[in-house]
Amino acid sequence: TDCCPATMAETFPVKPKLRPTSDGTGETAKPEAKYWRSFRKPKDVEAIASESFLYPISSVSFSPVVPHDFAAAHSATVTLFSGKTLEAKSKITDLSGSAASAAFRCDGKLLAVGDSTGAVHVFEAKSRSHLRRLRGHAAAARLVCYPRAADKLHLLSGGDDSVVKYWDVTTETCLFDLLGHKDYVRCGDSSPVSDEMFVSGSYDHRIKLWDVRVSSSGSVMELKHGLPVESVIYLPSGGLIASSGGNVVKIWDVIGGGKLLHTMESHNKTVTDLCMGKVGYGTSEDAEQCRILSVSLDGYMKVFDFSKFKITYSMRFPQPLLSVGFSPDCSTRVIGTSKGNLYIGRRKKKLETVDEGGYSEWGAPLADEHQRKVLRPTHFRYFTRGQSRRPAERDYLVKRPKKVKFAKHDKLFKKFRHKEAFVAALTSGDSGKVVAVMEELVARKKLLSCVSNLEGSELNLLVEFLQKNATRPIYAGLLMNLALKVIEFRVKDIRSDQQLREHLRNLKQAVEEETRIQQSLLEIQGIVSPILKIAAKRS
Amino acid sequence: MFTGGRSYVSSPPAFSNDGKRILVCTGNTVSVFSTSTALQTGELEGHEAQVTSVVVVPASTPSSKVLCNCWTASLDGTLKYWDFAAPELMRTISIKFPICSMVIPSFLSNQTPESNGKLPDIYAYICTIEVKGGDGKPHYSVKQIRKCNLSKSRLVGGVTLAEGLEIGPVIVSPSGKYIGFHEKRKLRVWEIPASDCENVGYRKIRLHHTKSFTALAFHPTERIIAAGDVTGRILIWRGCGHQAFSGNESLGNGRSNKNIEDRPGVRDDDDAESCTTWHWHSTQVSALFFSSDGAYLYSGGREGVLVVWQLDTGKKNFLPRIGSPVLYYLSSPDPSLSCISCADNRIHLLRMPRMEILSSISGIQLPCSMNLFEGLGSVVVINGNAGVIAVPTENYRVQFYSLLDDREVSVVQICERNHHPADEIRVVVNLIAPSLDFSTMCTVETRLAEEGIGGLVSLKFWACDLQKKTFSLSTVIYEPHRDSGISSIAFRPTDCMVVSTSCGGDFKLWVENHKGSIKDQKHQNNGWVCHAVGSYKRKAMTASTFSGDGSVLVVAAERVITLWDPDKNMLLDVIGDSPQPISTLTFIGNSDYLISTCQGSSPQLSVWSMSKLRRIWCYKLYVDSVTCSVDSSTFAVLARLMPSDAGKGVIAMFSAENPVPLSI
Repeated sequence: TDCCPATMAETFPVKPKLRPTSDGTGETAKPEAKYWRSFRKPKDVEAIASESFLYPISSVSFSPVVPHDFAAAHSATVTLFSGKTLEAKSKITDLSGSAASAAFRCDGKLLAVGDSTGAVHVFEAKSRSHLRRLRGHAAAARLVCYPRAADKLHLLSGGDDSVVKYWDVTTETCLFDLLGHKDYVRCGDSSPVSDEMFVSGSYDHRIKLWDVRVSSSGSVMELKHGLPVESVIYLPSGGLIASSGGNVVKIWDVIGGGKLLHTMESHNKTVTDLCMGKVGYGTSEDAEQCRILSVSLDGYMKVFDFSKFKITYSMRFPQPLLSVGFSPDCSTRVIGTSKGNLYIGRRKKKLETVDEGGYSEWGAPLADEHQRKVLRPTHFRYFTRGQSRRPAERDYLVKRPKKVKFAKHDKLFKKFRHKEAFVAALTSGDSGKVVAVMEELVARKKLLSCVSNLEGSELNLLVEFLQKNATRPIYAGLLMNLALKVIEFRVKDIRSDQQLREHLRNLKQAVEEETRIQQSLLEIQGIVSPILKIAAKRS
Repeated sequence: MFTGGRSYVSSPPAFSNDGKRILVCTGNTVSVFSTSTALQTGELEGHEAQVTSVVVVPASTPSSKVLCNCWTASLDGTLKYWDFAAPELMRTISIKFPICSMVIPSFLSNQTPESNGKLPDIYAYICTIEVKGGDGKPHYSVKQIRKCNLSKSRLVGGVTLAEGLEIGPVIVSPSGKYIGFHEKRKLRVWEIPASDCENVGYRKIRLHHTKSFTALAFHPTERIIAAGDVTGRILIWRGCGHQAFSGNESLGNGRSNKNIEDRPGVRDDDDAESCTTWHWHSTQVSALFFSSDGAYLYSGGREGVLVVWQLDTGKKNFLPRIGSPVLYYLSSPDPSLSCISCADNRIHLLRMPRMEILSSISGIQLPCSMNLFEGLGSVVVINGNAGVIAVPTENYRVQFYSLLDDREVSVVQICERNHHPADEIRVVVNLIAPSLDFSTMCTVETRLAEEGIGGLVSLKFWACDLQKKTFSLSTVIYEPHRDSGISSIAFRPTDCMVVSTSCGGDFKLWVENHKGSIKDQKHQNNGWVCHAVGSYKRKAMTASTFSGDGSVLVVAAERVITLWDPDKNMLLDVIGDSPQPISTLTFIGNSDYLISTCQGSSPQLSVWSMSKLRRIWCYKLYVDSVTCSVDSSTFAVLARLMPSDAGKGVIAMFSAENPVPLSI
């Protein structure tokens, strides 16, 4: 009977009903989801005006060197953003057509931009001075890409004329054409380990691997993606590539002879861009794990763990997504949409606390041990001794009973101020809580008296809540009946108030809509159930 | 024959002189509990009817604190004197009248030995019940306040202080100078003379009020009387009996200077200086008690809140959420200990200045007001092996009570709510079914709808931690059968399967779902899921049970009995045609005999053979409950011959093969 006294004077906060949760969230996914969620719109940058442009953002590219500036290509402009402050630094506008792609050189000093006329322009990233113009493509150059390792002289470009060209930038000459694609070349990447290996993807459903050392013999390898290839990237090892086309992302093993390792089909619409991301949380040895970030026209950004072949995170944006970029230092994530919005997410950086004086402090206690005075009750520290002591690992912790936090409505419930509790819940705006409070009121038989006592503005809150939530299936059972009672009880007030009438009209529409849906669902059920019965009989 | 589960709260308890023991009137006996462990240490057996009051002989000197003597009064018309340390009966006084309360004022006032060294006689004031009437007049019981000489073991003849129909319990002031009681709308108070003898004159006063009184308390030192009424008001009279008790008869002319301004709040010609009213309780005040120094007044009522009033300022302090109406409050000789008796058959021991509940002595919480609602009966479930019974209580809990030890084992909070005893019951735990080994439990709770809004039935599955013997919630299923309520639940004896039947015409089988067999997986991933749904002609399912070997599920669909294969969810057979919807179904042990009962206008008890699929015999009996022995083929029924006479029941033993009862 020991437990009884403890529970005796306890109060129970009003909780929403338990709902089944999805089982997919394993133990490992949770910190990762938290990590990806931590990319937020930075608060210190106030209202980035240039964040939204008018035209689709066709390409986002990060500079490989600190501070990782990035360039976004949209219409006839390439905007350079500062990697530190995330503000738009400058614009490059002297292009002959609309910018189709942009890429930084491995040292971040030069920026190559391909435009819709087929010209590739090379700018100095800092001064924006136009250095070279590489002409050769007959149609829009959708692919520009510098070798990633150390080569600063060459450049790869591909265009809608289905040709891939390898340039010597200094002389503005095309060293050779890489022929083989039969449709627009829209994407490509350079190998992270070798300066001579490139990959390109085309609308002819093929991905071709090129080695510029053996350029004459055509492509080294050809992979059939099966759908027009929208994006192709090398994974960090250089042995795997990921390609996207249609709504699938495929992972290939190029060292193992172009074997298809995995097909990811979780997007609903065309996957428009891929990029490499890194998960860096904690300080443990597996701190940095690579992920593939994919964005699609369905508005989802998904994070794919290619070591486990598992989607670890997905996030929805309100617009079709066209391009994605992730800064090499894992601090910034940029997503461009077809409506010209740029979603910049920055992770809060932890303060790097390198304690300079740490060493001396460590040494001190040992030396001081015997010199330290024995504390006496005359001294103030005598009474605070041991208070800052941390428990050792093996110590048994006697925990303080956890303090239950009470929401405002719970406190009011404790005082039996039912109407105020009801209004407090309504103003909080959490629909689950409001319904839980309503259920508690029903259990106390006070709901209807609360409803009839509500004043004008409070009634407005309630009716607005009903209008928003009454047709949601999980609440409908309670709220529809309540809505009827509210109308019955407060008909005079509703008639006299313009806003309430408005809400009720909306509610009526929602109910009508819901009835229509129910009707059509019933029809579908009518069609399906005989089929199911037949199927059950056969089996 | 065992008897147990007695009420601990029929009368106020009493503390021993050292405060280490508490004496509780439990039916025909007085139980002695230790206040430190809240366990029973002894029992005083001897009375033949309910013990109504217990008075501990106080210690007059510090050295006699170890003395453990007490007087008890009972409805059997005797007063007994005990040594409760032994425990041993020392004396019995028979007065022939049932006693409903007793006080002994002379224990409390300082007794001075008379000049010849002899202690004066001890008088007890008792409230007796006398049945009057007869000769064509209806019988009625009259309560009388009488005086009894305990030293000479006899009633004092001719002294009847008061007589009335509705006399409340007699209360004595802590100083022993006054006794009083409440009767309807007035209080009556007598002054006990310092040297009490058989024929002595009493000075008395009456205090009036517009509402019926429910509680009364005397201030320990001053002439202050507090009384509570049915509306929750507490009235405090100061200077009571200023004229009547002030000693000098000659001051009778003091009455002349009374006028309204002088005596605020005092009604008409009541003898008091002033009267103040405190109103916090919303329902009747049932417990009132002054602290020993008189600075505080404790009050308790139906709300289940103990209120401490500072007498001078009227400031309040609370011990809320006791969960049950407070019946009595008593402080012990030990200043740090006091106790409250609650209507849910619990006595809480409080650590005083902080008002913390130290421990509780709890009896069985019998459901009293549960069957107010049609179709929401309460069920008491007995686990035969451990002798433990599970009782749903009013404050949304299930109490496990050991029948063999006659004490509470544990309590499980089914629904996370606080019970406000004054409120109407809106949430009911109405069905409990433990599995055969008590490792899991299934409960059904119902929240009543408010004018058709928000009714909710939830089915909960609980898992028992075998080490700690506590139940933890494993699965909650809201509205398992759409809108309709659950009529019965039953566990399959062989494995983890539960059937729940609803009035809405279907039954569901629930199984425990182990996702994967990996041991390190969290407990939350295991839950109960619906395995199968079945219905028979959309008829309301009223009762269900599994056969002893778990191979057959029997569900009553109104008047017929349907047999199902629980694994394949197939209807095996339909038998029977009873005159009324079947209310209970029970298999007799492991045999293939099934008992069904139905109630209503044409009740019936029938025994069916499952092997022959037909009725063997039946009786037209109004059966309240059926129980079966586990191994043999006998069963017992608690039956009433007429549905109307609730009191008279018959327990009959039957053998399944034979319609002739084995014993009645």
